[in-house]
Amino acid sequence: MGCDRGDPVGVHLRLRHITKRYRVNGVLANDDVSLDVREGEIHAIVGENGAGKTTLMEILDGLESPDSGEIVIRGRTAAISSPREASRLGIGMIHQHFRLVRPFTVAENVVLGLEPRTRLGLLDRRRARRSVRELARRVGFDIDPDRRVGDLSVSQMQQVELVGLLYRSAELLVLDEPTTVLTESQVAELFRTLRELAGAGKTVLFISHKLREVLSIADRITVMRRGRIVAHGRTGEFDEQRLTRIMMGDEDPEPPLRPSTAPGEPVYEIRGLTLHTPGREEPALKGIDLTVHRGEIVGVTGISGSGLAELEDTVSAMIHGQGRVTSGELRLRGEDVTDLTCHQLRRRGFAYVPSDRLFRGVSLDSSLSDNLAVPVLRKMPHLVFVGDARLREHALSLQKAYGIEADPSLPVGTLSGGNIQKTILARELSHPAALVLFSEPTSGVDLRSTAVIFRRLFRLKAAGAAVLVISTDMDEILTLSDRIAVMYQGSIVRILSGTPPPTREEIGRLMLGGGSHHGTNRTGAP
Amino acid sequence: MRIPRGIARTGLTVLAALTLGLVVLILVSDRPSRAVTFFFAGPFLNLYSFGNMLGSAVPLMLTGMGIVAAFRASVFNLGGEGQVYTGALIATMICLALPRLPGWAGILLSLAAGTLVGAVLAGLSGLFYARWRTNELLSSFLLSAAAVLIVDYLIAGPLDDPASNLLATPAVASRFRLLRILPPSYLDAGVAAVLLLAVLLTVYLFKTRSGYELRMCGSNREFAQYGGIRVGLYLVLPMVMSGGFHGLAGGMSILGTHYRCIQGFSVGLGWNGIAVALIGRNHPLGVIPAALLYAYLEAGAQAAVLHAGMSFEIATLVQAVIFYLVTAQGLISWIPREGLLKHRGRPPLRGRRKR
Repeated sequence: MGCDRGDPVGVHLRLRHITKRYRVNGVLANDDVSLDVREGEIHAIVGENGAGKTTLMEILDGLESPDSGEIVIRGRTAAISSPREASRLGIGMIHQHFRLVRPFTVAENVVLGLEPRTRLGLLDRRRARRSVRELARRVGFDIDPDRRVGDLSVSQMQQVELVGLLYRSAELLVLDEPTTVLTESQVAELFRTLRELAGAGKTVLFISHKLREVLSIADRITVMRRGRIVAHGRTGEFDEQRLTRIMMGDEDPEPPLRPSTAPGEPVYEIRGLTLHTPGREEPALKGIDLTVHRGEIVGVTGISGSGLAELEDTVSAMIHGQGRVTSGELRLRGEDVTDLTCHQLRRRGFAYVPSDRLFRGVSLDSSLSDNLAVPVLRKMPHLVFVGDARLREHALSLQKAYGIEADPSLPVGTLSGGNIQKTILARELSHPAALVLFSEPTSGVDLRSTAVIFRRLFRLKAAGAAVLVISTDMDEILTLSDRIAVMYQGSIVRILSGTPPPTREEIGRLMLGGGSHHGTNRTGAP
Repeated sequence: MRIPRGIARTGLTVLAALTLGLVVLILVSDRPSRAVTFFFAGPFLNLYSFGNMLGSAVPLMLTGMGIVAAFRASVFNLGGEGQVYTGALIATMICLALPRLPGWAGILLSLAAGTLVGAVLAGLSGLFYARWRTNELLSSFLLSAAAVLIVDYLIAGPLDDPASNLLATPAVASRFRLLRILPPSYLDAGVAAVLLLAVLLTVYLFKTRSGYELRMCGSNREFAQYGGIRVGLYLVLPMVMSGGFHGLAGGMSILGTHYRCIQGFSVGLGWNGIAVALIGRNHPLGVIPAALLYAYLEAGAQAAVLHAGMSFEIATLVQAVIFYLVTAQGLISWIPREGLLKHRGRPPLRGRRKR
């Protein structure tokens, strides 16, 4: 590999005039992209959804092939025809959605495809375990090689992926939106690891649209917009405002301000809710009390594992079989809805955007128009004739309102992440609702769409909906919420007023359990 | 829509499979030319063989549709064998018990009863699934296996016709028999009803709210539940429909072809329905040519055994070669392409991902 043919020393990856147009929809995803990534640097590529970052990564990973252009790795032109080839060239990729086999153990996942074998040709578990333990120790991860991956938290899964790349001796680590699924402290931990790896000679390519993070981790930054590179330079040359301007082009999304409305009567009440999940003695939710009023946005936050997921599933009646409400009740407009199904809740005016967008939020194999049709069909008799034209028309009108550019007959799985997101919003937020449950509103969403989502939520609030936002992202909780409930280990430790906003430090401390014991219970402005 | 391309692909596979079958036949046969002629042209040589071929495709269309109805909702009915058999016996019993009914009433009543029994038998598995998460694959298979034994006993025991040297019930009165439209072959007027049912099932699945919801449950049950679809209903309903189609297949075989319930007469109808549904690309209309193909191969094999002195094993072998190829193609096209490449697996019914 070390042979050098006239390329400047220290360039690990060089892209020359990469162009890629998708034949299915004619989108020019990469337009003459040229880029140098130096040995041992942390290089960030930023851009809005649809800027072409993911396509570029898929080209690097051999999942897509460019129409024209050249990839040079350490001075050698490379044709990357498959992920296997990419791996052989020392490129290791961590995708937004993990590629792990959930029923397998950590060690099995790490060595998958490159298993150490015993003399009989069987999987040498001892050696696999040892390798994993060593590699994990080297980067400071605490993972048990024998745990089932399906039982791990998201950040641990990411660590498993990272260890897997090291096991394959990847030299160029590519991370696609790696922080989307992490809490702030986990992000800090990941960044520490990445810096260590870069220090040890690995090159890191970091894809993101979160500017604050990019500015704190990257040595150099490349900005993409609509398939082209519009700026690049050392991190010191940029600040958040300048990056935003470059990324957006001329349009500058103004962060919307939360309208101040006087909350009305209580719409949704959670009273003393305790939830037990199978196989765990300790309840997952302990005596939750929370009321959402008409025209109010209540934000619930906490670290992962603090009960947010269980709260989401309980409120949305998706908990069925995964947990049991052992005491307490849920009331919607005065009616006890604790034991209702999701179907029944929907009929009472419940809109819900789940944190799991890909599997719960849409049906990937079904067409866009089918995905959008659910609420329309819900209002029809069961055996009435439904013409495709009607569903298509409905889809097209929603698509226009939400800017989803795609043929309604395409499977949702072929759309970009941003468009999938909009599909869910279009379906959930275009009908009047009494109660809106919105989980992780801007997870994986770029700045422009974030502004759109916030505006929609504020409009719902102004229209008198009771909005419950569940999120691990402190910034969005602070922007959105009239009141903020912080959860820790299944309980709400404090409910804070959103005006004036509490400090990030205060919320952070509460999220980690600080002040969980009967201190001064601040519920309003000081 | 991927239908046109899919049909082309299936057509090509069928052609390739037939060619391969031809090669095998030539290689293994003592009298290749005669064997080839009868195997491939046998069903078309006279009206009798042709009609019988069409006639034997009819119950396969029904069982195929039954599988499609369940499969579209991602529930699986492996109890087809028992449902066909039980439906046949009940239809026979109704005709025997009420010999004085007018012909049309007896036909409708006995077919309805056969359908109902099949529907209940399969519906139970759906209900168990919805209630207690009992694997519907296993429960439908086991229920059906038990039902087969019971029907076997009833035919051999209390319902046996002592006048016949078959293990069979007495024959149903002639006014309950379906009109044969291509005599002397077995093809009966029921085929019209079956074709109509295929159209109705297509309209139901693709053009009604309920069919839409059923398919949505099939493609992502968690999404369906989240969207406010009553997922429990669509565990039971598809099984009920599936069983109904199977029961009807049994009833129609009695009234159209056999006139009496003979022990073991329907063996294979249930299993072959699954293959037919796969070849038919899981579409109610695709099931029709698929069932015809199946019946054609069956008839060809018989003709070759009968007229070309081919051994039964060889005929079955050739049939199997063709059939495995076509079925494998149908099976593969049902695995979503992204599913293998991009790990977009379908989550289990109550699958949960952690934050």
